[in-house]
Amino acid sequence: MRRRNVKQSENTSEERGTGAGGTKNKSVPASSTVDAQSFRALYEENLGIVYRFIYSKVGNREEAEDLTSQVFLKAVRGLDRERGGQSIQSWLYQVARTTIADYWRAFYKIRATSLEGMLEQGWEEPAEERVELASYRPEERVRRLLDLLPPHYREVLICRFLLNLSIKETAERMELSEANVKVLQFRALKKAAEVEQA
Amino acid sequence: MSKENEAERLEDYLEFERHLERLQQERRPRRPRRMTPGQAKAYQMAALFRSAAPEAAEPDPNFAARLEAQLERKLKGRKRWFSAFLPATASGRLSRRSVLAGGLSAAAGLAAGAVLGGVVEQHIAVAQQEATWNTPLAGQGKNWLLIGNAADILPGQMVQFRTTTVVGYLFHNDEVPDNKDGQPEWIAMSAACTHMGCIVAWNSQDRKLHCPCHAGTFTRYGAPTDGSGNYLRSLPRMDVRVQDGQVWVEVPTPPSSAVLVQSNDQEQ
Repeated sequence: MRRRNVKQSENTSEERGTGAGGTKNKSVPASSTVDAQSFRALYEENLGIVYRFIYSKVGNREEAEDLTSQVFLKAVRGLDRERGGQSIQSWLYQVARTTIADYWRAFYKIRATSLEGMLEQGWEEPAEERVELASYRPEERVRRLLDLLPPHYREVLICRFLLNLSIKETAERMELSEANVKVLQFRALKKAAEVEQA
Repeated sequence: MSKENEAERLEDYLEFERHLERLQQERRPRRPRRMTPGQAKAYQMAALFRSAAPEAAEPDPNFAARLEAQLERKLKGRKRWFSAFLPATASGRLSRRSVLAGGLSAAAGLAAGAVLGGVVEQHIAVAQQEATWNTPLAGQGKNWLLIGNAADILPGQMVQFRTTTVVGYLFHNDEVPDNKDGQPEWIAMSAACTHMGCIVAWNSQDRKLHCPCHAGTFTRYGAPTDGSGNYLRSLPRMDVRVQDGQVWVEVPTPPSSAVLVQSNDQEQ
């Protein structure tokens, strides 16, 4: 047991780079050590960015947390790999995009094996995948789209998404039947996708 | 529009609403049964609009803390791994016990005339006759150890794992199927150098395993490199199984007398 404690304290001093362990770090390949240390800062800086990006793609906390974890765990495991000159951050975003692309493919059971095949079937890569994550503001995009939609579409989406009202509450508020609300929200979102592409 | 189409579309609205209800509960939605590209865009938009909900935007603090702790553990394991580059005398990291253990294990392997791939049982058998303390690969039986999701270990990646009985590496071979040596896609091997049992360290630049003690090197498949001298044997392998997308390695179970730690070693 004592041995174990000694070993742990060795680790700690080495991580801090202080005390007797400080000089030893010179033997460790510099790039790897820097990567490991800066990973913590990278996490704090980017957790929110990655999480918001992923949330805007999956729309629920359970999956957003699951996929965000996957992205960071992949990033840790891949720290030693050649990143082709990319910074760790842009590489992290690359991992996030790839993770989301895999998610969509699995979710929609897309069977096409090639990108060409997917395009032929009408599947397109969403344009925003190429946007830089750090400047990605999904809520602004939503507001912009709402402004462009006809009033009844805008209202149903505000009720269901921004106010989180139920179908019943939305129906009462808009003086529609519940069935109508279900049709309306579906068409409103399809319209929003069209508006975005235009 | 035919009645049949009408009925189908009604079903689409209902399925979409079930999807939205799941999202509002912050839960993983079920996969839609079928979907056209046009409908897929509505589902993508639903996810986007959800992110504008006031409570949705930021990661939950509990989740952030949990993930951070998980990453810390991964990083620590990784630092230990790189610390193996340190000279043994300077770091004091290599205990007499681990050197002894490795030496014994190497001797056991030589005695058994072991060849790549089939040495694990022989190691166990011989090692057990000689000692009950913590020898790499020593154990009374074998257990399947879950390493993780196969998809998370990228081709070309070398992953270190540890149990109480063994330190090992799992290599995801990125040269399948065109490698000349006919190596499998997954290779698990002991990380104890076959010279004296120091734990070898992976260097992703030259793709070799380096022994910190006497500068011996092994290829990613665990074979000693030409420059390493003729005294080295290959790193003993362990069986690997991939099932339901998860990678398992067969590792020795701890000896029942594993609590017997050398008392003189502790006093030092």
